[in-house]
Order: sequence, then structure tokens, then C-alpha cells
Amino acid sequence: MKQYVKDFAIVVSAVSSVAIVLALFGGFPLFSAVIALVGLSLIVAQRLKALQQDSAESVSPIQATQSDNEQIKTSLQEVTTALADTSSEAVNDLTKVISTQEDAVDTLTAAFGRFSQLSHQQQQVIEDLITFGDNHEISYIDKIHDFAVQTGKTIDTFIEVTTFTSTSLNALTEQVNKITAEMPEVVKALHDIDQIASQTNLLALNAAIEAARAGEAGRGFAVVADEVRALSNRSSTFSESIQRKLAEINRQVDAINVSVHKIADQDFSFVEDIKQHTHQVLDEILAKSEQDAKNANSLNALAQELEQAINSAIRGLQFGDINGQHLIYIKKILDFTSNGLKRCHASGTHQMLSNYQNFVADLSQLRQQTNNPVSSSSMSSGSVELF
Amino acid sequence: MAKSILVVDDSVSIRQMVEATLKGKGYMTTTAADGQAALDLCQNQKFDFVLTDQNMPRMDGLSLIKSLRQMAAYRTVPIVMLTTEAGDDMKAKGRAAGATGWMVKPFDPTKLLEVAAKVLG
Repeated sequence: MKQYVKDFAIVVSAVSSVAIVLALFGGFPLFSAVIALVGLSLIVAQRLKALQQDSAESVSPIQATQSDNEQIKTSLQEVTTALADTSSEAVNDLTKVISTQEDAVDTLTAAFGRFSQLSHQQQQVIEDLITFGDNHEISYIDKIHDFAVQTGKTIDTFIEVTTFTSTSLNALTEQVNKITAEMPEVVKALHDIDQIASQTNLLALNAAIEAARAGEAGRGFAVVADEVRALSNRSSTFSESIQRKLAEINRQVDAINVSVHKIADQDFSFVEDIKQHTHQVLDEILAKSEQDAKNANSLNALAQELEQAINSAIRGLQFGDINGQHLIYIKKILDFTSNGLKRCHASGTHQMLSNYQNFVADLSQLRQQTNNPVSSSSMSSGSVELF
Repeated sequence: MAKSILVVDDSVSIRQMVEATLKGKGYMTTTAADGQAALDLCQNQKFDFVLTDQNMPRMDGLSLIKSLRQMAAYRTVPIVMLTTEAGDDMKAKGRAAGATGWMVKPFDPTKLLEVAAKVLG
């Protein structure tokens, strides 16, 4: 009797171990059922221990052996059936978990894949927006900055030239005024020349008269007097011609004077207004381009952060593959346990014991032969080795 | 011309993740769900780089590497294992089979791209 009880105790211990294994491998849904089975196994084990003590003090060992044997056998079969059924249910549950997990991870992966693709496209559009050239080597921001700086310089040069022109016009006006002021002096001098010519003419006339009075002796002098008169007339003619030319020049100078005054009288203060306004706008453009450059840098930084976040998501999402392999391994062990326990039932006690021992040995062998393919226990990046 | 990469894994999500990572950097990718499907593809096409899982139905990664190394066209093509297996014995088997490198899942996309860039020269 004692030997039988010991053997059953070993078997119950094995069943308890299987139940504990299930508790360790099984997920949350299995936990309660497995705990109940562990409890049931422990109760049977306690009962066996009590029977061991009772049998030691028993008065009628044969009767006790038959009765206890049946009781233990029934209890064990109940435990085995319950464990097999629970394992079977666990396998079904795991199949559903694996399926839903795969579905969820596939959906999430597709979403993140699309997200990654859109992020790359967005980055491309931003690059197109802020750069140009065959290789996006030129920045619009730099170009606008250069344009603004160059335009500022051009405006400054234009204003300098305009101011210089205005100042020069004033000087020109003064010079024209001086010329105009000189004109009456020249005209007066020409009148003096006219007067001299007239007096010379009169003097020549008197000389001619005196020459005539002198007769033959004054003939030569009469010729000289005629020449002097001719010179006097030519002087008058030149003087008139010069006066006409001077009158024309005077008219032209007046016209220039009017024109120069018109230009010089223009209000050049608008140039200063243009300068101030243009520089204000250019400063705004420069400030905007600097802000755009900062924004472009921020966009680049954001794009990098986004890429890192997507990379982290991709790394994290691999739990689907990793846990899937865990679950498939657990499912295999549970499946084996369920089928193995079902095969343990037998009508004869010896056969039943043998079945249990075989099952425990097979389970042990399976666990030795089948390794869990997953080695990582966190979602941090795995090692990389190039041979 | 963009480099072509064959991605071999029985997990749909891993294939998608690896493809998204590599395509983002301009690589051309083709996928296979197991070693046998990959081997069939390699009979008709020369890829520049093969990235394969170990545990797959029909044909595992080590067997795929051994078969590819028998083919003249794939004697020097880089083949990197991407797997959950991290044991030294498995790595030794991979090296003996002709693997170029060994990456343990989960992979980091940046590291995967670094490996691709390195083995593709």
C-alpha cells in the first residue's frame, strides 16, 4: 500500500508541476484556471499524505488499499481531465491571441509605414519649397537674403547719385547765372566798339576832306582815309554780327537757366523717403529670411525627431513578431501537454502510472529539444555583428 | 541605379517595416515569406543584398544561406541574418553557412540602414 501511495504522490507532484508550468507560460486568461488546478493538485497531494499516515496506523490494510486506490485514481483522473481541458482551452485562446496580435501589428505597421512614407514626402515638399537647382543646392532663403542686401546697396548708390545730381544742378544754376550776369558787360563792350567805329568813320571822313583840300599832295592820304573808313564799317558789321550771336546765346542761356531751375527746383526729399521706406521693407525681408532660415532649421530638426519617433515605433512594433514566436512556442508546449494528459487515462492502475511517467518524460524531452527562439527580453535594439 | 535588396521573413509586419525603412532611403526591395520562396526568386534574379530571418516555414534562413552560397551568382553577395535568435552557437552556424552578418531583433531602422550601406559598399 505504501509503495502505491508514494507512486501516486510522485504523479500528483508531476501534475502539479505541469500546472505550475502552465501558470508560468500561460497568459492572464489562463491564470485563474491554472491556479485552481494547482490548488486541486495540492489538495490531492495532502490527501495522499494523510492516507500515507492513516495507512501506517491502519488495522485492515487490504480494505484500506482498495478503497484509497480507487479514490486516488478518481481524483487524479479528474485533475488530469481538468488540466487537459484547460490546456486545450488555453491553446484555443492563444490561437486567437496570436491571430488578433498579428492583425493588430500588421495594421499598425502598415499605418506607420504609410506615416513614414508621408513624412518623407513632406520633407521632400519642404525641400522643394525652400531650395532650387538640380540638386536642391541653392536656398531660396539665401537668395532672397542676397537680393535684399544687393537691392539695399543699389538703392543707396541710386540715392547717392541723385543727391550728387541735385547738388551739381545747384552749382550749374549758379554758373549759368554768372554767365547771364556777364552778358550785359559784353554787350556794353560791343556798344563801345560801335562807338569807336563810328568815331573812326567820322575821323576818316574828315581826313578825306582834308586830303581833298590838299590836292595832288593829299591823294595818298585820301586812299588811307578810305581804307580807315572801310575798316570802321567792317568793325561795325562785326559788332552787329557779334551782338546778334550774343543775343541768340543769351536766349539759349535763358532757356537753359529756366530748365536747370525747373530741375533744381524739384523736391528731392522724396529720395530720402524712398530710401527710408525701401530700407524698412528690405529690413523686413531680411528679418523674414532669417526667420525662414530658423524655421527651415526647425523643420529639419522636427523631421529628424519625427524619423526617430517612427524608428522607435518600428522597433517597438516588432513585439508582434517577437511575442508571436513566444506565443507559438508556448502554444506548442500547451498543445503537447493537453494531448499528452488526455492519453494518460487508463483503466488499470499500473498502465495509468506508466502513462503518467511516459508523459512526464516526453514533456521533459520536448522542452530540452525545443528551445524558445526568442532571446530578447526588452524592445531595445538587438545586437549587430558583421562577420 | 538603386541597389536591390531581398527581404525574407515569414512575418508580414517585419517585411513591411524593413521595406519601409529601406525604401525610405531609395533602395529597391523585394520580399519573400520563407526561404524556399526566396530561393525561387534568386534563381531568376540577382539581388545586391539578402536580408533573411532564421525561423520560417518550408526553409529556414541557415538553409537558404547554404543554398545561395552554392549558386555562382550569390557566392559573394552579402547575406545578413535578421532574427530573434541571439545564441553564440546559432551565430557560429550562420558564419559557417556563409552569412555576412547577424542582426538580432528588434532591429533599429538606423542600424539596419548602416548595415545596408556598409555591406553594399
